[in-house]
Amino acid sequence: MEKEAKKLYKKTKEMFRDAKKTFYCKTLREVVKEFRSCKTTAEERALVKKESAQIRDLFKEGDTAFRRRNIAKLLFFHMQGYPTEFGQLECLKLCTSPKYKDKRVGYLGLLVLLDENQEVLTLVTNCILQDLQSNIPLVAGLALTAVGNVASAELIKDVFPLVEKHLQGKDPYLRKKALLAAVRICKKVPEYSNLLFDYMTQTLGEHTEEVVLTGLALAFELANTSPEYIDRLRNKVIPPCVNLLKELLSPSFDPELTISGITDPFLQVKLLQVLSAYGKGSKEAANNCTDVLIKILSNTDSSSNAGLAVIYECVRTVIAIRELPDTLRSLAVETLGGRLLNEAKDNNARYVSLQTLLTVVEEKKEDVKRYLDTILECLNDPDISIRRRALDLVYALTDSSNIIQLSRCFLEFLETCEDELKPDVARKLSDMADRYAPDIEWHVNCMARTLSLTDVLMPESLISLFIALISAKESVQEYAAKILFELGLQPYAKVNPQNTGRMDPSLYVLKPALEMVSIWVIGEFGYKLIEQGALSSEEVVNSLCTILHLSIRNTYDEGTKREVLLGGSVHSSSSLLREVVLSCLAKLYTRVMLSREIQERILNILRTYQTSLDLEVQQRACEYFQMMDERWNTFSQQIMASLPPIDYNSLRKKHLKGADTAPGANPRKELSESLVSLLLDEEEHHNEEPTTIDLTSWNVLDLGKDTQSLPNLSEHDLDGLLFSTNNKSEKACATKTIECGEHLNAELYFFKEHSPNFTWKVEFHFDSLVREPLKRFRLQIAVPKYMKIDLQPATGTTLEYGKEVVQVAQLSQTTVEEKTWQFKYRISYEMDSTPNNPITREGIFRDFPVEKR
Amino acid sequence: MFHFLLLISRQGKVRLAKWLEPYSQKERTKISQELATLLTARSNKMCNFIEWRDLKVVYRRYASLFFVAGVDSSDNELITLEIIHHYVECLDKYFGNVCELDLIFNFSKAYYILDEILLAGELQESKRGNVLRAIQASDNMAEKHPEDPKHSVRGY
Repeated sequence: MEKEAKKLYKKTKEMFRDAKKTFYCKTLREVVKEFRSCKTTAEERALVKKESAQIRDLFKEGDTAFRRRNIAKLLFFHMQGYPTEFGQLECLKLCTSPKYKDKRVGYLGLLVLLDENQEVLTLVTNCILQDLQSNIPLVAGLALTAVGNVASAELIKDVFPLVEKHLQGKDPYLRKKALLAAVRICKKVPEYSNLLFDYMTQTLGEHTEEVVLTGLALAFELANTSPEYIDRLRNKVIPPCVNLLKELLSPSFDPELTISGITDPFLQVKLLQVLSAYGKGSKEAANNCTDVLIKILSNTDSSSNAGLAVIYECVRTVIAIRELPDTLRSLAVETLGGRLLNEAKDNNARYVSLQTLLTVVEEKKEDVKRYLDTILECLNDPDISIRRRALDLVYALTDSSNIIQLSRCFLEFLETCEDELKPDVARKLSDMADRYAPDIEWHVNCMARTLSLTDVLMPESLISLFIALISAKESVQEYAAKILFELGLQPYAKVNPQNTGRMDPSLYVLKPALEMVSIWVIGEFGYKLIEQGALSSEEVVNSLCTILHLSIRNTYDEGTKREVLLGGSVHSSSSLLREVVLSCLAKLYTRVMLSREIQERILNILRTYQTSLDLEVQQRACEYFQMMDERWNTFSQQIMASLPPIDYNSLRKKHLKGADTAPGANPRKELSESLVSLLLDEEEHHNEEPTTIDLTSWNVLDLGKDTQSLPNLSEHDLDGLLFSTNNKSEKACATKTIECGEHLNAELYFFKEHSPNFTWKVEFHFDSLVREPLKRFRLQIAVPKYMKIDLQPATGTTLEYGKEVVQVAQLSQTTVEEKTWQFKYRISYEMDSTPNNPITREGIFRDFPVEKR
Repeated sequence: MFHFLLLISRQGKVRLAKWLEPYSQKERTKISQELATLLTARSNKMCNFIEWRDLKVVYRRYASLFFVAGVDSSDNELITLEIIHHYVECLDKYFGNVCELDLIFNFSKAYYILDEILLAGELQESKRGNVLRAIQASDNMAEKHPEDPKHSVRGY
């Protein structure tokens, strides 16, 4: 019996060997070679498909001979972006193999092909448990690496005792790996943090460099995950760190650890990071490390990247520990401005220096100001990241003493900078001018130049603000009309409108935003200049004519530019421009005594546009043309009377509330409410309802857009004066609805935003389903504590049939862990026909679009 | 902390990819492509850092290869560059004048070396000698005693 079995075994073995000879499995090298010789992606795809099919078959047959080789091939395919999920299980089997050669590849596959979210990871728990106990350090090392790189919270709970064993071990090779695995453990399972303190503090007294280095990484992580223990640990952490730093300052004991003359920069940087994490908030700790920090700042050689890295970290530590003496903090600024920004001439050093200066500029403004010239130089740097930081810094350094110089720099910068920076520069200029302008003329001049250089890239709210500024101050109106005429219209004044073909080609492209504002201001305030004879009415009419002609031909590349950069739209901006021109002509006609000839010209233009294909333009032309008739003289005088001054200050406040102007500070009101405190939320919104100006005493006829916007002179309507705010939501990631009852419909458009955190921008579009207007319409939203909401005012408070009300909310999460996103909403409105007002609808929304954050 | 380390060729091919945060396969491909286009467009006069999403990308070009690290935005960018260089030196020592082809055919070795340098996104070993000794020991064990690992030396 036994003999027979042996015989059978031998026979099978031979058969197996023969089979192996006839069956050929390509080596990894061959596959890589073939892959590289593919000329098209289609060929590559075909090859991967063929190979994957063979590998899958072999896996199915339970092959072990080629398993390692096949997993290696899958790793290669995975790296090229091809699907390899079918190999995960085999990869785990490879981990359990007794052969080290297999195991090594298996663990590599585990790290590369899997991540913590994969279900199959639970299957490998036993294998990792076993390997952690292995008496072969390399095997235990593999297991620790796996724990440190992919362990899920579940797996960590299973293996923790064994990791703990290695934390106390003698072997530095395993101890350092265990210490870093502990870093991941802190992150994934914070409740284990308090079990790790002792292991961390023990390492600080060690003499093995890698154990100290990894122990410090753990110390830093512990400070992040459980800041409540910092006070208790401070005395155990700070003294050894200070001593070690002192040791490192003296010439090196180990040449292998010295990089371009700096002793172990990695360790120095980690030590400084830990000092800043544990030193914060303690006078004693600050006293302890003052000396060594001064020494590092003054003795470290800044000629190499390693040296710069240490100096940079030291400066950051000094800035972070507010308890350090003021002289040391000034020295840190000096090091940044002098050695890193000025002397290093290295773009990386400049970048980090500017970035760090930004964090101290509030506190050390005078110290930073000494480097203003160098910072201004950085505005010409070829690297946009450096320019952007320099801009922020210059902005932060502005005050009434240097506003004229710095605003000039900014305007020069605007002439050459990329489009993507322009809106931000315009915002800064507007804010600087608003705060520090020496007088109102200067302010208007500065904004007019900004507008002329940014044009459609100027944020709409700033344009509204600019108009409000002029409208509010009567004394500046003539000046503004003059300067805007020079900038926007003068170039077109001398051109014969009938013959624009022979014009300077640079004039061919209109600047719609600049022209619109200029034309509006000329129409509104220009009559004073014409009456005084400071402006020739012929030139004005001539330039308006030319612009009318050009606007028909122009297709505005700038329109798309704006759409891309600001998310707004210049929906039919050329027809809008024409409307503004017609209004301007009508205003001039009624307000100024013009010569017969000019009057005829204006009437001619209006007559021409009476047949315009553009409905809005046509309507306007018809209305104006009728109004110019002498019969209506008294009425037209009233209709065309000046607008009431716009309240600049309230608009400015609103603007400041709505836009991020100061660097580092976001004045946007953040409503972070829990689900219960819906009532609190309610109060907030009372304040945010747009203030309306009562215009019943004004003789205003419905004259199209210009005047339609009058009854409610809020920010939004001013925007509408220039650009249509009707932003179509085509780019939304997803559309959802919420339940709102029988009177209205709501559609939610979701937009992804990534800065600084992941944010859903949600546009609520409300549509009424009934003829009767829904009055006092209001949307309220409350979110749980871990979320943040920023709800902007709605476009209206009355929901009428056929007219949308839009309200925008930005939702983000304040914590990092995975939470279910949700919000509670309440919609309320009043209807005249029902006695039980207000009508409210409530609900909870959880149906956020699926999106990996 | 490192969130990922990518080796991308100038043609945009991924030569090695280490992900320390759970990105899906689709995202991985997207990020690699996105960064490849971003980096190839940059001139060498520019600095080696880019703000990217909520991370900071620190990169350095060695011959035809970009070494691209995604780190926390609060990390020390300069020392990250030094860590990248440390890795390159280890590769260079191991392969002897390393070139892109070495990495293409022996990518698993490049991974083993990286796993000795970084763990949990933190620097694990700053001594080149220790890294190479560990890899050597591992290679020896895989080659010499394939059947019975118990024979291997305890030291490396």
